[in-house]
Amino acid sequence: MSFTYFWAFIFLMAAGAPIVFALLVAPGFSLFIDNEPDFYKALLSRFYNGMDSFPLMAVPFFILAGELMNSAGITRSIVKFSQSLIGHVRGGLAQVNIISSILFAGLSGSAVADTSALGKMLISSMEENGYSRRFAAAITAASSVIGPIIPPSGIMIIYAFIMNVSVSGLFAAGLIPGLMIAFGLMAVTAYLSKKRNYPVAGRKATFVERKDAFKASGPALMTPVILLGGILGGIFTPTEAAAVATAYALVVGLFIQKTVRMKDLGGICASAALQSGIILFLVGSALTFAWIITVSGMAESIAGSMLGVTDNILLLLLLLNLFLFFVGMFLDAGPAIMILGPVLAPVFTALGLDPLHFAIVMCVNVTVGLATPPMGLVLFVAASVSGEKVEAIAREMAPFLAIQVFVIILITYFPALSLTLPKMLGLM
Amino acid sequence: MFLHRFCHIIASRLAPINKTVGTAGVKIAAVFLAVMVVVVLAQILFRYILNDSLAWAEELAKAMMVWMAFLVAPLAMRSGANVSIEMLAEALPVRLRIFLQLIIGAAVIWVLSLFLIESVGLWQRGLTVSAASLPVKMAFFYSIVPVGFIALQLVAIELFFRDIMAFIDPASVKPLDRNSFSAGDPL
Repeated sequence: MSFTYFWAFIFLMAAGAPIVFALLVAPGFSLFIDNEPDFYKALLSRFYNGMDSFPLMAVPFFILAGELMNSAGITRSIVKFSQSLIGHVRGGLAQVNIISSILFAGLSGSAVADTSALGKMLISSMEENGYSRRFAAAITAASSVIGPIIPPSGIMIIYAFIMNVSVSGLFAAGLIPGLMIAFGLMAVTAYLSKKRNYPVAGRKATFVERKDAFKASGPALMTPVILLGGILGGIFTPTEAAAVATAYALVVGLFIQKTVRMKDLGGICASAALQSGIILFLVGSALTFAWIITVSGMAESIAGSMLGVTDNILLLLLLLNLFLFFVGMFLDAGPAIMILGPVLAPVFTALGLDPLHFAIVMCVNVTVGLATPPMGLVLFVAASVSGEKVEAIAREMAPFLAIQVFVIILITYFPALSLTLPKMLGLM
Repeated sequence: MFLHRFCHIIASRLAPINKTVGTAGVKIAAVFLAVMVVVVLAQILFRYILNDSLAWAEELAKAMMVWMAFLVAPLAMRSGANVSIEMLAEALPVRLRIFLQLIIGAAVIWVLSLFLIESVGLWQRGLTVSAASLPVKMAFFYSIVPVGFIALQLVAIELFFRDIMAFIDPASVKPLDRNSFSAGDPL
């Protein structure tokens, strides 16, 4: 079988075809050129079976839960709570932005949702308080990549499904790297705030004020407890936990905070169904593409040529990170994982890397890529929410990006950072 | 010009069909998603409280999820909600870009036809296979696949003819309305 599909795919992508169709047309065209119509059947069955999966169902459920919590207005209470914790330090609102992202990360698995929800709330008020608008947009974008690294995480569910590793294990492995990025960003922000003399957001909150803020955001903050407790404690599968989170978000929105009305539910479900369907089609088509990569022997020839360059694993890991970072500049996290995971993971696990460790390196790297120019969805959303130019935000983002790259290097060369927690919980 | 008018007639006949089918698909998919949540919750409830597992819950929820994906696909395609990299194409002159769109459009129509033909075969094979836990044949689950590909094909044809019109006269084609459901890529 030839590698025609590879060139067809590159052409279609460059010409601006939707990725989902590029992934379906390329293998079909390759089989057509090679005159192997008997395999057409395999394409469709890979496509169908790629979507027909119970673990994958966590994705639509988490999206629905996220939509519900968004319309319930939990963003506001999370920001208030963060403000009561840290608003009084220099650069307070910037720190509030990061803390809110950490809390948000425990509810949703999406960087884009994080950027748009927190950006809408915080960028204007940061500007009123003396920050530049582009700095406000940059910190919003930079901190939102924590979202898919701290569990739950949409891309990790997809990675786990495609590469057949444990979702729970991957979730546990992401927690420490996610917090490392968060604390790294907070340290950089503290330094910049001192240097640029950014304002404090208010006086220190009293204990009672903190308690009240905690109470108001309590129902939302219970979500990560239910989710992670349930998943990591082995009570639910991630899919079941996502269903429970959806039901919980519904109860909170309808009856506790009373911010969601019955008549909103149709629109919320429709929006979540549309977004989920798009991802499911992408997963199905990516698995179709992964099938032809495997049967045509491309994975092996890539592995061979990589090992031809060097068999030093430390050097290969560096090359891997450079490559992923480069890819991440153009391709968003989900498609990057779906297309490259099946090609790269076998090479590195054959060299003795733990599958979970590789998974975390790959997921964190392409997630950070969401906020790197020229192509980064998070960056685009930050630009549209703030009204600033992508280039301007990207320039402000340089110090934050540097710390994220540093964390990627750390987790690449110190597997214990990601693997200790899953080992302790008996998930690997 | 004749070709332009011909394309306009076809595209404008297909437009209301695709719009209605697309919107209806998303609405049904929304109901399916809600039912999926209920089914999975019921499964947990039965396992932990009634100490009894619902054997059919997983299979039903999975089939509904596949249906959901096919049901929203036509509207997603028509409203341009599928992710693509447009950076390179946008740097090209308008006509060349539309020309590339035409090649992509033709390739998509071809691959959708291929999948449509294969899906009829899948459905026929499903007539003899029973579902694992529900009293139906697999063909019942598979029936969405050919239907979904037909709906997608109609959208692809509409978009293709619109691209021909745009190739002849870029100013003559008004952009399609974006859908009112989506909030972008949620990953």
